[in-house]
Amino acid sequence: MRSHSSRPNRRSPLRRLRNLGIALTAGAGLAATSLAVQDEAGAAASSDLILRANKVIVSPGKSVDNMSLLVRDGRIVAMGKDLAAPEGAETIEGEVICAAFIDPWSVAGVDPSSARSDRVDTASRATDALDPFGQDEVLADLVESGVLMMRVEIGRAASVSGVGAVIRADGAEPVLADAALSARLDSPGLDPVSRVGQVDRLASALAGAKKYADDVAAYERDLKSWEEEIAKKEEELNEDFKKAKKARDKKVKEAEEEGEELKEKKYKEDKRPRPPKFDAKKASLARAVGGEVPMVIHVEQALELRELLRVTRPFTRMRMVIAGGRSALLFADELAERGIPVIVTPKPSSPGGDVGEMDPGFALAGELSARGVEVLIGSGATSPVASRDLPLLAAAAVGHGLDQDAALHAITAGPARVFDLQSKVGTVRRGLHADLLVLSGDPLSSSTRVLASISGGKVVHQAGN
Amino acid sequence: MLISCLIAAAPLLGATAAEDAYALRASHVHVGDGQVVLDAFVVIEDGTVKSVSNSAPRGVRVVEVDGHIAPGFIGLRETIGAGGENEERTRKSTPNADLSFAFDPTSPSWRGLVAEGVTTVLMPAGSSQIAGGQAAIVSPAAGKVLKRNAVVTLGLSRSSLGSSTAPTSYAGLYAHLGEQFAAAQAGSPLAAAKAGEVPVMMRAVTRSEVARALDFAVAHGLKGALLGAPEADELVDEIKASGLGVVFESKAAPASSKDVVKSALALAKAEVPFAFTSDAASQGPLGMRMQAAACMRAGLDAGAALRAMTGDAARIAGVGETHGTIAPGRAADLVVWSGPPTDLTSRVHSVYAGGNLVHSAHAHGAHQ
Amino acid sequence: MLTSLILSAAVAASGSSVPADGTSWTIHADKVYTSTGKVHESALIVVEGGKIRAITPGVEATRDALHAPVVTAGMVDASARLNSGTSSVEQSSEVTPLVSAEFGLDLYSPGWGRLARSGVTSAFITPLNQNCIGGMGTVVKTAGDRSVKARTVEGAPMLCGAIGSQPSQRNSSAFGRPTSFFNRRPTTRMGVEWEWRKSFFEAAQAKEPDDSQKVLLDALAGKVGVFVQAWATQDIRTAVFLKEEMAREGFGEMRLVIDAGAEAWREPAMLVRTNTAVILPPVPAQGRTTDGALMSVECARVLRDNGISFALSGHGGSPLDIQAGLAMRGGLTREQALRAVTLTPAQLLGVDGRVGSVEAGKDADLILWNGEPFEATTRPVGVLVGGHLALDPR
Repeated sequence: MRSHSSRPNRRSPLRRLRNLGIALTAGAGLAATSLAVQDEAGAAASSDLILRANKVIVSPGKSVDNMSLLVRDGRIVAMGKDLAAPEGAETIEGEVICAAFIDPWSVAGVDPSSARSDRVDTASRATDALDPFGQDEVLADLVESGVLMMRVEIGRAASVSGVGAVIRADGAEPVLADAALSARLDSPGLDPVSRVGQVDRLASALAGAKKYADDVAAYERDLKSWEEEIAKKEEELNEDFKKAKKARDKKVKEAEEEGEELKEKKYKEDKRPRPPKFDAKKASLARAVGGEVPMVIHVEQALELRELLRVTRPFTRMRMVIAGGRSALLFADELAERGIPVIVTPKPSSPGGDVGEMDPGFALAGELSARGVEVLIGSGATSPVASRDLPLLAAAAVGHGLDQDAALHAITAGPARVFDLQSKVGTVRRGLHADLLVLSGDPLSSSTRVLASISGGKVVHQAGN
Repeated sequence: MLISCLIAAAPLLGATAAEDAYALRASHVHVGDGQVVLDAFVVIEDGTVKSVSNSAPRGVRVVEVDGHIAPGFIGLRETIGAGGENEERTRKSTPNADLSFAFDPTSPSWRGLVAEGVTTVLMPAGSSQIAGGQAAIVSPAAGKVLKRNAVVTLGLSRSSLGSSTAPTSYAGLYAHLGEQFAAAQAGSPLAAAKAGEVPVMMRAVTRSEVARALDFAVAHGLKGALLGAPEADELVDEIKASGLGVVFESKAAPASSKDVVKSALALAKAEVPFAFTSDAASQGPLGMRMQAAACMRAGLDAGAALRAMTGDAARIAGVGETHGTIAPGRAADLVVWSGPPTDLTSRVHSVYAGGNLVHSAHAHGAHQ
Repeated sequence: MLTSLILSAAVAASGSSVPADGTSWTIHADKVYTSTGKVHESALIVVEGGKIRAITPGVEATRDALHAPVVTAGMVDASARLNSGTSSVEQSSEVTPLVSAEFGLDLYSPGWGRLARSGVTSAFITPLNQNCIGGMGTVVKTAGDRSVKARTVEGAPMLCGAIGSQPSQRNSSAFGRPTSFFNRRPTTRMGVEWEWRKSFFEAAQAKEPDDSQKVLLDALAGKVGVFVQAWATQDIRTAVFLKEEMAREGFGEMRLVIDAGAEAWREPAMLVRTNTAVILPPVPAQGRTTDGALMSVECARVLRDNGISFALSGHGGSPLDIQAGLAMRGGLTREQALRAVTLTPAQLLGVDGRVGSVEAGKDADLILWNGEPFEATTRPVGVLVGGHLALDPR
């Protein structure tokens, strides 16, 4: 090992890091090979699970026949045609295995009064309002129907709702605590001027947040440079210390001799930069403006949507998601071009209802998808139990023109990707979290039954139990 | 959709090929009683089904259909097109009312209903009526009333009680209804219901309401079905003993049909006939199919799910002999689907009512 | 000794107390308060087919017997108020003698389970007291098969109603343009009394009384009991004076029971002279009940001291054994408090042939207590209703 020194050697940490990196990769390689060896005949951890199916849908549109998966410690650690089951591992077999369904717009698992509230601001967090016990029956239903994760938000009645989370249906555990911000531009019954005013208010909130973020960034830059200045000055002063002390002593002696007071040389120090006043709401919204988290905006009508698209164009880093989007077809090209996904939430309504022929209803998903817009399907955050029928909504969308693979994407890989979880869930690949369904048939077929639901590697539901 | 006309009608020696007779050929014909006939020909003549078989019919033009044929849905509780005319608000009890007068064949909402596969509709009284009248069976596509005075509708739930109109209590409701039944003269609808000639549809929602309704039905020898009863699974034995079926209502969203799922499974197991409603006023036929799909995903088999929207629904409405299944002698009310009719991924290709093509998805463009 | 030998033999012969249909048990108690005044020590109760077959004092517990320190009869709540609310009372008319409370029962309500588990095995249910004369009440078992027929106990027919401010509450002046049937009399207390008197007079003077009037005539004759809610003194007076007036007119001698007679303690003499019984409501927390009646824990004792027949009630909210404990605090003995919640209400309601005491031949409605009943530290640990375990002591 290196010899000790009182001051850290500036070069060694880097080298240490590099050495560590080498060691890690070597270790990982070793671990990987040892894992491969263990696949065959290793000692099984008590949580090992083997899943076998005639068809494994790796991702929508890509499936492999006759595959087995080994699940350990919450992850898919191996996939293969002939995987031997480790000792003590539970085996579940079915016709099809696919990624668990994710509802991108839900209120299941959230305390109902928080979900409905209008007293919520951008700094409020959905993770503070989770209610696993009060909703345990609803959550059990979701688990049985295959919807294992939901993006939840609170404050449906507020115009900007705060930080939502992605949670597991099993126990309402957060998978991603800060998943997205949400806002609502959907107040029917207002006059057009007020409706445009709503959009303008949102835009100014975004601009305000951006300014705040810029101010904070500027402050940090200024602080850094000020600190550097101070450090430099200090060094300079330290170096000249002896000389300056001698000079000062001389001056003091001269002053004493002359009977005058010594005028001390003052060093002018730049004032420490002041940070901008902390604003939690703006700080939170700034994360959306900066693209750190996506922002889901519930907007149905054409006027609001057009204005929204216009005012958000300057915020180039913002990742917007449209929820509802009944009039999104009119702007499909721009949505496709800007890569803005749309969460569709179709409801079976009476033919000739209030919107009548203008309401595309279930056909919206298919039509948007055909124009190149990424479509997600959500239950609409109206009632907790609505999430249960997510696969039925997707199936009905197929019946109204949505492509089968796009429909499956809309409730699995799509929500995972849009909410930054694609490296964890949404598809069936080695290394990803084990959030899977074992089914008796095609995932969207109405006669398919969910044979088993696996959430985070744990079997949370098995048919016939 | 492929429509290819093979074999023009050539009169055979001695056989008369009717002008309007033709056959549909499809890979799957769902009869509506649980059976599925593969690669079948459905021969239609004069608006009724003449035969369903695997052998090609002679002397009849055959239309090849790309998809599954299923009976048209029976919409058991349509209030659209009635314009609120099915609820007489000044009196709770109008047992002699003929609800066929509430039918407005020109209402534009019917078109949407037909396009989603509903060919026959029962128009009942509103749920706030105690004895709202006699429901009529209508064909929305043909714009015709098929059968008057088909079902006697009775409301025995809390919504039939008034807060400032009599009766305000269940005791008062049953006293009133009991008097009406006792005083019913021969030939009147209530007398016909007592004699079992006309089925009844009794709306009861909570478990005690259902229990009381069953007692009343048994005491008066009524046949027919309960309407509502979302917790029917807790009273399966009593329902079976009474001989009544159950018609499940839709809710605003199929998501709140949890209790219905459990009840549907329990009734299916006990072999009690049940049906789903399309109730277009709140959700439409797609909602009905989603309700059925929710039950299927919980274990109900596809045949039973389809029966609940076709054959059994027709039987409950008292037209099981003429509608609801694809069988000789029944009305030629058929829907051609792109896949199994109970699967939500299937879509309607065309709809036949009374043997006539009344809707074709192509004609309406991609909007459907 | 011999009886105990024979009994043990009988028990052994009939098998253990683990029942085939859930209605046969053997119960051993250190003390059985029968409610008749008799107390059995170290007794074995044999229950078969939902009825009490035999009680044998002075025997040891058998191996399979359910055991408890004290066993009493199941409590009878004479005013349990567990109906379906406004749908239990026909408000299109103020006088509806033909309405039966059985239509206002919701046997699926969780309140029944709560009542049963708290020791109330029979409950008297009336239509909601919004009408002057609401209809006929019914005694209902608190547990068992969920059908009205199975749960109803046939007793003395009781015509139920109310005198006081409650029946007039929804009504408003009948002058001007009436918009609903609530634009009618009575709108005051005197109007309520007027409705009562008017109904009785019209029934008594009718040439051809209709079905409703026939019930009223039976009430006047005493064949149907009259169960009137009257909280305050003035209302109790009204009820008693009405009875006396009807007797003076020669219409008959009513059998009067005052329900929720919170201020019955003020003028006991009139209750004594008319042989009126009283059902006491739960003791109010702040001293005054509905209708401003003043009541304390001593009310029961005052009625006892005057020789008035009384029972306690819980109104669906307060556990009946707590009310009994409060009455003891006010001066009743344990035996008297027990009677007031078991045998006396059963007698007043005419169901004492089946319930109300621990005697052979009666229904197996029993409470197993973990100590002396009605003490603050005692609670029911086992409850049988018709032989079925509503609360399992094991």
